[in-house]
Amino acid sequence: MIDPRCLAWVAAGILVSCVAVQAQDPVMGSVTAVRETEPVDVDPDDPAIWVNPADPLQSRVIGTDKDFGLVVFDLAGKTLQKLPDGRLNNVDLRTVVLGGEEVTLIAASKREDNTIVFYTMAADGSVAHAPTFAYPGAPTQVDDDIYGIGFYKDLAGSLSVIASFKTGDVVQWEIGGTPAAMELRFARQWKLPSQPEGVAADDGLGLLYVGEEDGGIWRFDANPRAGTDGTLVDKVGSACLPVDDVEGIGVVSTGPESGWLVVSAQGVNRYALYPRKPDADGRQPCIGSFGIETGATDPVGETDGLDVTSAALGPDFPAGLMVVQDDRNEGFSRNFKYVSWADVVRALGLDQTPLPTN
Amino acid sequence: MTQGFAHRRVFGQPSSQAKAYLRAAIWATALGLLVAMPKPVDAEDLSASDKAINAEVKLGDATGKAPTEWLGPKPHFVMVGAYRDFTFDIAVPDLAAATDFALEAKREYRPLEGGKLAYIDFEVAVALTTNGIEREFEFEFENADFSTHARPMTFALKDAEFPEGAFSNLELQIEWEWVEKSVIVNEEQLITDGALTVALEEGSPSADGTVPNGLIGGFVTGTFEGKPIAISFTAPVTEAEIDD
Repeated sequence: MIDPRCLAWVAAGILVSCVAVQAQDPVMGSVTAVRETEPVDVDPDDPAIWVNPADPLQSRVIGTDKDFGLVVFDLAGKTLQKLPDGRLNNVDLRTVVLGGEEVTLIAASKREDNTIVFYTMAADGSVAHAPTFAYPGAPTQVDDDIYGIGFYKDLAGSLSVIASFKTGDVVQWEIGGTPAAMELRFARQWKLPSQPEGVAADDGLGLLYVGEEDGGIWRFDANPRAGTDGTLVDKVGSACLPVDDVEGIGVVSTGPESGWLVVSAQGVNRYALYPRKPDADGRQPCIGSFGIETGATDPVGETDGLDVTSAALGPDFPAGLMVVQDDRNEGFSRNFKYVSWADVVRALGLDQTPLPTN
Repeated sequence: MTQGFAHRRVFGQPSSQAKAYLRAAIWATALGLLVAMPKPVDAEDLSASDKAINAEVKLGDATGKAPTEWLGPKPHFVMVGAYRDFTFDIAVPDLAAATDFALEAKREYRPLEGGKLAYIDFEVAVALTTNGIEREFEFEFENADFSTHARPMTFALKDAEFPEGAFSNLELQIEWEWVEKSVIVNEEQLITDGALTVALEEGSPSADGTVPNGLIGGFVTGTFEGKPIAISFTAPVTEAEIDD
């Protein structure tokens, strides 16, 4: 990818030099949020975006409110539903076929009892408890809280759920059965050097990312039957992750192999971007990072959970939507912010062709 | 930029047309750099006057005089000193009379064998508005069990989790957004040079053995990177939690 700043240099014939600079120097940018949700009651952490296939403008954002439960918002940021289910930390969702029946499943990590709790999303965007609500997060007791959560749906449509624990443990469960009688089968368990949180799978490329808060971004084979050797994509102390914590992780898919990995760099209130597909040497060098500054909303500080979709969700989000937790608003309230992905593409000079116009 | 470009001798001496391209390239590159540069999301790029607005936290009957002891059981908060680039001169001698100011405390416990609880942690949280900026500070202290010590009791600050004996861990957190300037301040730091004196602990136990009410009073002196800070507080306790 070529830094657009280098285009001027093309005229002088030194493109090669610019490409080299780009590879070494991540682009730093900033964007503003398009809007924000209504405040949550306590402390938001992690969002998940449900793209309504029938009417993208009626898509939903599901967010955790850490000491309360789940909150469902529309794209205007209005609170539509509150589910007071306790200390839900992270959330993710997928639409799958289970037992011949299509269902949109939402999973959340519940810290009181280290369980994974499941919800279903109806076609009208309403959220309800799954018939069996709570499943153990780990096959044996883990000595500290369940923390991150993420789904992985492979290209054949098989679903698994991955939970991270504050101990460093990561547990993956295969999901079978039917929506009415879901079964979780233990697949594998491994451990990171220190506390992880963010979990996100790249379904198309079969990759699993887990953020080690003080360490960096780990990449694993997402196949639940695979080994547990990991690759450190980027580590705390780098240009894009200068200080801890590594928090939320999202995969932006713009094609079978194209797109980006977005990672919350909490210590600098920014989001780091990496190419979605590792290069031939397995590297994913940081492309750049951006912050969310004052615009239609206040800025975003202490960046934490996030989710991103490249699906066009109407004129405000023509190239997709990024939803992020915001730890601070005027009046000491907290909420989620909505960012147009097209703005990120422009701010960092990313190559997303064709880029819709606002 | 120009100098670096001129030194690229591999391209030889530029023609006049190339010079025009060169000038365009330099301007375009400069413009590109400007566009790509992040606007301030920290305090580094502020003007001197804005830096002062951001960094000087002054509130109430501030005199600049640091407290030298605990100022008594009436709910209050006095904090004078400096931390990194920030200076604090906050004097709220009577919480009941304060405006744009909130103060509360939380106790945290850990279960022990036999159903007892160890009182391992308390947090004092401050929310205030100065210079139009809403700011929050948190001071979190840890000990193996604060309830086992008589009062007043002085604890030396130490980098250790839940230290035994006359030691305490202190984590300082300061946070705010200056929305107009897109400035975000979010600092967390262990203060390991100094002392905490717990002078007051009162409240009524609830059924689970925690004390989610009453008052905590104390006096803190600390030094970080050579800059001293002193705090006297008596804070209403509004919450208690068992860390299981």
